[in-house]
Amino acid sequence: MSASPLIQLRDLRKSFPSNGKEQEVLRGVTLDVARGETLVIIGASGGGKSVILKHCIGLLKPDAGEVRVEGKVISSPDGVDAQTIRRRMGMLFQGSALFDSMNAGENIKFAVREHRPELSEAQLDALMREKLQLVHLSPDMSSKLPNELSGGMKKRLALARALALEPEILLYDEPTTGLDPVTAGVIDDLVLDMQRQLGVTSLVVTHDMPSAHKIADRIAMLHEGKIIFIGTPEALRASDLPPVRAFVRV
Amino acid sequence: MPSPQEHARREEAPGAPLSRFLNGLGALALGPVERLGESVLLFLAILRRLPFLFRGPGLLLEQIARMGVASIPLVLVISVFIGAVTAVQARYQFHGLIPDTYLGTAIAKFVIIESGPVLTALVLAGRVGAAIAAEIGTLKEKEELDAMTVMDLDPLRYLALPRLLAGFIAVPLLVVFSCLCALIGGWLVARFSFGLTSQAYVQGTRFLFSGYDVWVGLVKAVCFGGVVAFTGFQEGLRAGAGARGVGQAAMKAVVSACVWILVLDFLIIFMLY
Ligand SMILES: Nc1ncnc2c1ncn2[C@@H]1O[C@H](COP(=O)(O)OP(=O)(O)O)[C@@H](O)[C@H]1O
Ligand SMILES: [Mg+2]
Repeated sequence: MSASPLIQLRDLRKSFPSNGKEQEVLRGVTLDVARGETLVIIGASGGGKSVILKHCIGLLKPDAGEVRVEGKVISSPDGVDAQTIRRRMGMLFQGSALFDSMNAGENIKFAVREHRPELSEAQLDALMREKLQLVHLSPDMSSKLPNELSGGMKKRLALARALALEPEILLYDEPTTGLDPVTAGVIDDLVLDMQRQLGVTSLVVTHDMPSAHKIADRIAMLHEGKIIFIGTPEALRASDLPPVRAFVRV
Repeated sequence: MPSPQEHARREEAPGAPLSRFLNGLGALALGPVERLGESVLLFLAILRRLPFLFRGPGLLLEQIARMGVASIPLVLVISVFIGAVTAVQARYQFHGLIPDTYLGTAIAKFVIIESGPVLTALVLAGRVGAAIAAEIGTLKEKEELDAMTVMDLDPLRYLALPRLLAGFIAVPLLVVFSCLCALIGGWLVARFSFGLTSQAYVQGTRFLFSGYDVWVGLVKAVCFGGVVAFTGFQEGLRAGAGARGVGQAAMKAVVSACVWILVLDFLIIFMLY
């Protein structure tokens, strides 16, 4: 791990209006993600884990605080264009967010065709097959529509789609939620593969503890809008903070 | 004598509702202004993507087919009936005042300037505008819009621009088709119900026919087409969470498109005649 963190969150605050009142979801989140590591954020549902991920990739702007990627501020209007940073990041959405109107192959090729117009259709096809193989999907399924795929296959296809743009940073939003244990294990292995084979930096959000223990280099816990714990999985097990104990036990 | 301060304090209680009322009134006036400003900015942002059209007209053609071609049967049916109703009404209103030979004149005038563009647009607000709002609202709900943004695929370019242009193009074509169908509907009634000869009907439609009316009808159709597609897209973007949010977005798209169509109809007529 190099000295300067790849992603730095500094005192991030974010509120959303809810029933006419402002509900403060993030109350000063500070977090560093080091180059090459897999950092897992755990926390209760509705606690703001997805909101953190969306700040990292510029989909949301904080009310206060700062997001830096490779030292560059992406959270303020006068910071670098979030677009230029986004090209190097990929995100796996909770519901996969595949393009429903396109078949599996098109889902992978669409963005690549736009961003790399120099590639021929044959090269795009080759790239698509390569990415499908990376996530252990058969190239035969490239003509299927997303709604013909199982939940686990959708997650893998979404990962293949993100990989097609060759990101250095991958953000995963609950990659194993709603999957059976076997399929969840397959996804966990893929997350590990991405780190080991491709050297990507991963930020994973989950409330699946077995998965967190399996893939994490470090685990951070979000509780009431703040990071109350950050450390190795072993340190988490040994922690005697009450919210951590309560969460890890369930 | 109470001091001014005391006076002010005593006034505070009865004055508070008034100031709250005035604040509310201000917000009521500001809300629409703010929303209108938002709409103008979004509209301009979409138009700025126009150069991308030449890179991929496929998306536009697909939308024209979905909006335009698929609406033909509906427009055909309503337009024939509009023409027929206009014929019956014109005869009833003018009976004894104007000879039936002018029936075609009344129908052609009314259909080309008013009922063709307005009724077609209102029906398309329900068919096309609601569909766009529901589709975009669902894409938002399922995070497909976020996924596009994350992959640096601009939703305004890929989703908004083709839909808006398809509205500008398909609706005028449908309006022309609608006018022809309405004239045929009027002819059916005039010929078979009122016993007017086809020749008399056609001569009637030609009498007082002006190219300017056709232009006005087309100007309206272009504006209405833009309104239907744009409000559909904007309400889809604003959609709240869940199935309910999507349903409400579709409803709002239809309502605001209908209001805008009628307001613009008045403004255009007012300015062009
Ligand atoms: N775009 C948004 N608009 C309004 N409220 C939001 C938005 N995104 C998230 N929230 C609210 O923020 C809270 C945290 O959401 P989220 O980050 O999705 O939680 P989770 O930890 O389960 O991922 C929830 O109460 C949610 O309603
Ligand atoms: Mg979430």
